[in-house]
Amino acid sequence: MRIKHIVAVVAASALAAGALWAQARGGGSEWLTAQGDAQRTSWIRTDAAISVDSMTKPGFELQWKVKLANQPRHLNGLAQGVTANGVTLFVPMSLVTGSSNNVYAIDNDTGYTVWQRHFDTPLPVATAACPGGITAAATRLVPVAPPAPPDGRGGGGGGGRGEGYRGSVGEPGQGVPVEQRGGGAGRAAGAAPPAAPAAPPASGARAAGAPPVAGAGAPPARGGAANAGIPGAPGGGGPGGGFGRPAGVGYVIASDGVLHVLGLQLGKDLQKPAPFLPANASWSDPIAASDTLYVGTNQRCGGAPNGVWAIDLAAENKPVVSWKTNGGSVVGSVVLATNGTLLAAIGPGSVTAGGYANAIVALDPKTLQLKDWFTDPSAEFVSAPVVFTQGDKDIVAAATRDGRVLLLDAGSLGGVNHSTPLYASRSLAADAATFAPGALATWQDMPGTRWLLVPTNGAITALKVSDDGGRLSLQPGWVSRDLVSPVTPIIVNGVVFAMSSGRAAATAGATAADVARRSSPAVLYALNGVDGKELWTSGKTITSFLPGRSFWSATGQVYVGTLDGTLYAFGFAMERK
Amino acid sequence: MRKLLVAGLLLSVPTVWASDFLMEGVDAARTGWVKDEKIFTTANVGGMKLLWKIKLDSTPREMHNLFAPLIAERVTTPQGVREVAVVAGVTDDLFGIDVASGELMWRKHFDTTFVSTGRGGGTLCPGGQTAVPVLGQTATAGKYTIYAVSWDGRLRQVNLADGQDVAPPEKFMPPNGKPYALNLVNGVVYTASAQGCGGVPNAFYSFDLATRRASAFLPAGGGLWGRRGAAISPEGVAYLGTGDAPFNPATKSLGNAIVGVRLDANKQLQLVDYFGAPNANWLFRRDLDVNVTPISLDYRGRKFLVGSSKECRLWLLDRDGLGGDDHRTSLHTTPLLCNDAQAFDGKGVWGAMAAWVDARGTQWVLVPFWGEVSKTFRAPVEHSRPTGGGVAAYRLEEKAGKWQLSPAWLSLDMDLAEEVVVAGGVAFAYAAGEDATQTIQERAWNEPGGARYGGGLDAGAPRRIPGSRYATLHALDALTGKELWSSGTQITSWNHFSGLTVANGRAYVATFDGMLYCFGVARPAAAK
Repeated sequence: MRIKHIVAVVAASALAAGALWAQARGGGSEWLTAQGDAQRTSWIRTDAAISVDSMTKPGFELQWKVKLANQPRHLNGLAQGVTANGVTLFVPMSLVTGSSNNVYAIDNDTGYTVWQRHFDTPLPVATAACPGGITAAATRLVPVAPPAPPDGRGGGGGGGRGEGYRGSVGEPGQGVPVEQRGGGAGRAAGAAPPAAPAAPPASGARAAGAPPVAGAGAPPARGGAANAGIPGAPGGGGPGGGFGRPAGVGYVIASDGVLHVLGLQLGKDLQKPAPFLPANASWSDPIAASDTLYVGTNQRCGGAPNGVWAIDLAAENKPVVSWKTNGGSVVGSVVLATNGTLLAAIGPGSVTAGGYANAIVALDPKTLQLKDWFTDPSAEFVSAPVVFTQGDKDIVAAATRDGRVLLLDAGSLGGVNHSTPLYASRSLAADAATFAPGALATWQDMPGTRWLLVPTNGAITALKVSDDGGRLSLQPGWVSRDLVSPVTPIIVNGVVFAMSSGRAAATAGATAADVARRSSPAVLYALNGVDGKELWTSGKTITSFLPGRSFWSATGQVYVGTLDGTLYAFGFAMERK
Repeated sequence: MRKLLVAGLLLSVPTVWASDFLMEGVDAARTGWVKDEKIFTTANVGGMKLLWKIKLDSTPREMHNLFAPLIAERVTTPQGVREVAVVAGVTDDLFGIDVASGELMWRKHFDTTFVSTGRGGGTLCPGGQTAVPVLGQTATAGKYTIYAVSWDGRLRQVNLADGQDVAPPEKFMPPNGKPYALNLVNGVVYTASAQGCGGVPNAFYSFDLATRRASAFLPAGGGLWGRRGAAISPEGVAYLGTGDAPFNPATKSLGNAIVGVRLDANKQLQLVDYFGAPNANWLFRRDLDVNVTPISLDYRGRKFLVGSSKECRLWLLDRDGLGGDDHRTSLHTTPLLCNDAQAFDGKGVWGAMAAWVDARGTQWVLVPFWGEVSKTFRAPVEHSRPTGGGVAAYRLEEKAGKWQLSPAWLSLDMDLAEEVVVAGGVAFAYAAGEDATQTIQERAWNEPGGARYGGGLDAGAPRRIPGSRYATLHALDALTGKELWSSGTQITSWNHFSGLTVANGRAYVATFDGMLYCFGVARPAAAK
């Protein structure tokens, strides 16, 4: 009886501890690509640490900062990081590119530089339009479909309480009266069969007390199976998983236009570097999905035509296809609709040979052939598209220089005449000439309201998406406190992180030094996502300004990279010190 | 007969031959200090030579094979009085060796009640005999009993002189676990287990030889895998660190902590005290187990406990109140010595520390570590900035009314520094030379063998054995860290979770290939 009781308790403890293990050890959100996901929503749906409630209490503060030896090129410095949890089992990592052909793998818990790479290729003279060097973030593979919105049950899970410490003593000569938990490679001769093994812990977890035992049961996945999911990796096929799966890869484009597939463990080239873009191009944050990596190019830097480029990650020779705008630059990042269609915003420009300007185009994800487009000469797009699902439709939202936000049906851009949006807002900018370009962000609150967050010239404007029988419109939500050149905000579990970048407006002929001299230190704010109320601020913690988009979040932390190469990590203390 | 044996055991007295090495870590407190070594000195250790080596017929399991020997200087054997070494082999073997000649005197292979299914448990759970035995001196001069835990979990009692059982095997703990080095105090054998191997709960275990009662205490905190097993204080408290689990006393979860237990009158282990570092749950998050056997030491009227972990810092604790009122406050916590990366494998403190007092009365703590020394660690005397591992020495000092551990010296670079044993003012340390990685190592597309996608867990022997190198024994001046002697390339194999023995002018290292090496200096005539 006593032994049975202990067996049951031990098994239950193992299960409960397994759930707790998953929460405490490396689970949590990831930021796989710039703006977070394939739809570029900048939205982390759930988080175990960050919530409106937790941000109203003390504790969210600077956790670490680290100075990276990256030299800015004009005002291009550190890019937005992308993250990976569980690198070499327990390390949450950010992969951050630096303009001077650098890549840094940073331990998100500590700021420790796990590894760094430098691509030794010649760099051109930097200009504002064409800074040269690495002009965009790294990316990891992202799923095309977004994660499900929160269901109101909260994130995390808890981990029940198992029986705690305890002791026992045996009768003389009978040994200790503690039965095995099962899982042993053998049995005691003449003894009763061992107890049934405890149910395995949740995927990716292991029972408390059981260190990462390779071979304790089935051997860890190795070789091809473990490489499943990494395009171009040898022997992909089986579902690698658990602690046996490899750390994964990150995709980085160097200034010579060569794509590198870097292992996250040590930063080595795991696949032969592949020519992708013309050298010294200016490209936007890439995205990789369904074995293909995409970027948009702009400003014809390095002689690279403005366009959208795709490289087949799974093929050994990595063929490249492209679609030229024959017109304007691609504005910001390219984005994927949930059906995999590639979308890109095109800015103004002289159009030749049936090219496009002031447009949003839909491209076939494999061939990059034009499938659909929206164009309006008055719609000078200044933001990349962001995609959200409303009902059974993917909706594309993008901002124009005159301060409007346009909503388009991703399945029929601009309708039959390719120029009719589902909705066009009034101008959100008091002074249209100073409307700040930048990507939008979008999220959905618990009751189901869809929000669009628009960084304008001096604040974040939050708009609610109204759906009146299929007729979409944007209704005023809230406007944030004053911000200096805000960048695309990030939403984490209902909290909007708004970045006052501190970057001074560029004036005609201004050098990088001029802009830097007139800029002020960046300030990070946490706002309640439903009313914009300020919950927290970084105050004077950040001492330089944020020239670009080096601003991301994962696993309960928010990261900021400033022009001086300093990375800041804000979050709740994890009892590290 | 049994009653007589027990009576004899209860009459056991501390060793009278001070240069005996009766247990892993030298003594119950696991100081690693051979206090009365008569032969080794800093002056003569430089002349150390390989005296003999012997290949023992031990079958390795995973990455385990032989453990470090235990030594009794004057054993009454059928061949006369001999200095005898006993070596445990992982596949349930004991080997008795004549130290003078290096010849095998006897071999004992345990019978077993455990039937293996043949399903391996990997490097972390090799099965077999995983605990270094302990020698008990009986009331009869020259007669010693070997206490060992065999694969089937039974306690063995074997005559050191001839390898014969002196008592039938006793049921002790569940089979197929992974117990660590045995301790023996006041007629009680102690051990602790880890990794949940064979489904055996991670716990302290005790066996009272007089009453034949076995007891267990489960801290609910993951494995207890300090290399030298539990350290036992003069107060009879057994201390050891725990591994993977949250530290949350409210739910009675003592993960990543140092736990102290003691037998009650009913011979049951009871919780006495515990310490959870302020960052205990960080240690859990990163799998930085408290994997080091702490050292119990008394100094200037104070009762100290010194602990460490894979995180690679030291905790100085007061045994009169482990961690203070909140169980989380140390007397002193050092900055990181190594493992800036806070990696769970290949870095940190994995072996066993030593503590000794020099002629001037200074208390020292010597810490072997794996991997790069921390960028922030500085010692007044540095013989290198180690990249593969090394030994750091600290002085225990009272400054402005507060006790602290102050860095004193840093050794030369070592290939994974393991256990430290101090004898005659010489700090012996060995570099294990094993492949200590536990993840598949990434390899670029253009390196030999082609691309390898790394980072996934694979602690298995098939991957690590080919990457293992060779062990090296180092002799350092314990006051300065200066290297006085090294085995260089004389040892041709490596070892994994083995140990180091020093006694009577001889130092012993056993390796994975089944070889036991004995290095030594000439003994003065008076010591022969």
